[in-house]
Amino acid sequence: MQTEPILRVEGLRTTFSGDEGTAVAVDDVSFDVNAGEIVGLIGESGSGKSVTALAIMGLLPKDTARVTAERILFDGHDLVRASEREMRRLRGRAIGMIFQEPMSSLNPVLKIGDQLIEPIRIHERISHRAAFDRGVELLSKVGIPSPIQRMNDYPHQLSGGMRQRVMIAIALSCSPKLLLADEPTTALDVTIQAQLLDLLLEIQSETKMAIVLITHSMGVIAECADKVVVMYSGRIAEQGPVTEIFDRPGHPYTKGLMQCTPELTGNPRRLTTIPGSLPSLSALPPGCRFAPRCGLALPTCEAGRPPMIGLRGTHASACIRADELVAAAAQPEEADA
Amino acid sequence: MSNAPLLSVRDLSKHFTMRSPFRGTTIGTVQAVNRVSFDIAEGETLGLVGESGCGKSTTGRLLLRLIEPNNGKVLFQGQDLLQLDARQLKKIRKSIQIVFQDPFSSLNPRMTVEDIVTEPLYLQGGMSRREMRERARMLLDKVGLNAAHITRFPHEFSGGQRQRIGIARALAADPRFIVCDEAVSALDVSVQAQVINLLQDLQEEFNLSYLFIAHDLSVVRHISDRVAVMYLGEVVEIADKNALYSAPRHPYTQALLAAIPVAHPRLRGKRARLGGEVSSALNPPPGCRFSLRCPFARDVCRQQPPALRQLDGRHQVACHFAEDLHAAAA
Ligand SMILES: Nc1ncnc2c1ncn2[C@@H]1O[C@H](COP(=O)(O)OP(=O)(O)OP(=O)(O)O)[C@@H](O)[C@H]1O
Ligand SMILES: Nc1ncnc2c1ncn2[C@@H]1O[C@H](COP(=O)(O)OP(=O)(O)OP(=O)(O)O)[C@@H](O)[C@H]1O
Ligand code: SF4
Ligand code: SF4
Ligand SMILES: [Mg+2]
Ligand SMILES: [Mg+2]
Repeated sequence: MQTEPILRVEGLRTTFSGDEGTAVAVDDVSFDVNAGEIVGLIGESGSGKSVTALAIMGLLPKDTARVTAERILFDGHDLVRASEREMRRLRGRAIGMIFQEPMSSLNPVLKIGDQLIEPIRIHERISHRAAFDRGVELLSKVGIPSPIQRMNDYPHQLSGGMRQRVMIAIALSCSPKLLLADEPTTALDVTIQAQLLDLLLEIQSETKMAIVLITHSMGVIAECADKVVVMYSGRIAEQGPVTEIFDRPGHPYTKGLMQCTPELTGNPRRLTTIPGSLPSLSALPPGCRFAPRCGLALPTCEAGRPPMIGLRGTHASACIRADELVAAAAQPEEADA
Repeated sequence: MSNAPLLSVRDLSKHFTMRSPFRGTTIGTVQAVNRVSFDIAEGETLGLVGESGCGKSTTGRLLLRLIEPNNGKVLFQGQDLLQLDARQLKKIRKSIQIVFQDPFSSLNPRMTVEDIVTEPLYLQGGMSRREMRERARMLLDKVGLNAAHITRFPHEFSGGQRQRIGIARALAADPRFIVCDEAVSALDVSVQAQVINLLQDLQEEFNLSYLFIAHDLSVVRHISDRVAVMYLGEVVEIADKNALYSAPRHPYTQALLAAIPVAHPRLRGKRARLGGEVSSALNPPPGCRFSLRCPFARDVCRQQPPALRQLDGRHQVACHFAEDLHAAAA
């Protein structure tokens, strides 16, 4: 694809200052999103996925968070240097966001109908009645039964999954060019999840909306991502086309993730895990941050940050043994053929 | 498994009133939970799955009496929790804990992690500040969080980290039974695997029982002994997990299993889709609540609600044609 990406993130870094000093939550993250593309962002809990999305949106607390980047280019705007006013105009219109926490991003004392109607009216200057009808239509699109009656509900009267769908309806209400969706389907059962993924795919093919999809579900990635970005401890471990990532993961962390996913066959007593846990932001290992947990680690892994190694096509991995991993993964498949 | 179940739920119902968006007049009742019955043995895990909004969290909250039911019985160790007064309830509460679905709104933003985790101990009394802190550290360590972060506030943690704070709190007072409401769904698969292994280890060690509410059907299959499926406020099927996953009897269960996302991008498009409108718990259809979307529905389905009944073994189904559908599939 030689089209200009709709979103280009280069060298994004985010630090939080607190009592214990400064913690680097996102460290030199770069990736592109093309129009009409779905980029899956996965990685260990706490690895910096939400912070990345919030940094792009300019929504991190100004008093504790510091965001820097070479640039964050969105549709001709450099978001790192944009004024608060410009950001406010882009948010909710050109860029939509579905937040990870549906309850705290909905206003608990406002009816969901009002929360849905307000942004539509601000951006489109249509009558209350017309905006109400649009709201009802959106609710039914995201699969909320009895949508007219539900307009009158307060968030606490909805189930977890219904709140998540209201958030999705609000994010879609202004037909954004880019949607940052942070765990949009975690609270949904698989039938409604399937329906929503279909809806997102439909909108995406109609309007060329690009989506950054943060998710823990390998199934959701397998269903709809074009490209995958894997984060570990604030950095990108690996990125590439979805089939490459599934067939030939180029990073031991990604490989570990695939093995942890419980399967629908067999009855193992215990699930496979990646031993250990994400390093604390205040005590990061010097070289490869995955080294303390990595079965393939060599002494050189701890010497310095592993560079991104280009693999097949756009596939790249920040592991010095990426080539070996990919080669080992390729063999059994070729033997099958 | 022993004789009497640890927990027996009988005919549990909870209805909410809904008002009109225009006039504020009552327009109907949401039958969030309708005549639900099940048992959970000591040391057993019952998985609970179903469409979003079908009443799973409401069921969980009813068991703890966080909300009051309209009807039914909740027998815990033979005692009907719904008959207890506030003082008696407080004594039994520590044995029954819940991990809430939403780790963001369920943790008090003004409390430190230490206060949150030790709250059940504090309510129970009898422990010094030092002992409570020690226990909090030990619990944080168990759920894979850095015990040094004990003085932090919830907003300083990621979604999955907050979920683990909720799990540590639920474990604090040595419960017998825990409602896990989407307790692992905010976790990435590697942490999820660790937490599931932890829940299973604790179960073995302390003979704990779980009601495990989740949307991820492979996780539910892994952790559960038996699985209950709800649809629009009612239990439509309960069975041993292997029976349920390999030979689902209820058409809704079949649709649910068919909608599981594919395991590999090359298999895209292979997933089945459940047709029809998502049904509304507000004024549900007469007869079988699944009849509007069921591919096998006949006239009798639209008139008579099917009762939950026993098939072979411990397999219970609420469908008029469970036997026929099964025979047809075989
Ligand atoms: N407001 C904040 N103040 C201080 N630290 C923060 C803040 N928000 C996030 N962090 C830290 O930044 C790191 C990355 O958090 P982030 O929320 O991006 O993780 P995540 O990848 O989205 O995880 P999850 O999958 O659990 O949602 C974590 O270590 C978290 O503790
Ligand atoms: N406090 C309340 N007031 C009014 N209605 C409520 C209230 N709590 C829940 N409901 C309704 O009860 C029904 C069941 O909700 P519940 O939260 O139990 O669903 P759930 O199965 O947990 O769904 P999810 O999978 O989305 O979390 C929904 O229709 C919901 O709108
Ligand atoms: S660079 Fe070394 S430690 Fe890091 S993932 Fe690769 S092999 Fe493992
Ligand atoms: S009772 Fe009838 S409508 Fe209901 S699930 Fe069975 S066949 Fe379908
Ligand atoms: Mg997050
Ligand atoms: Mg729920």
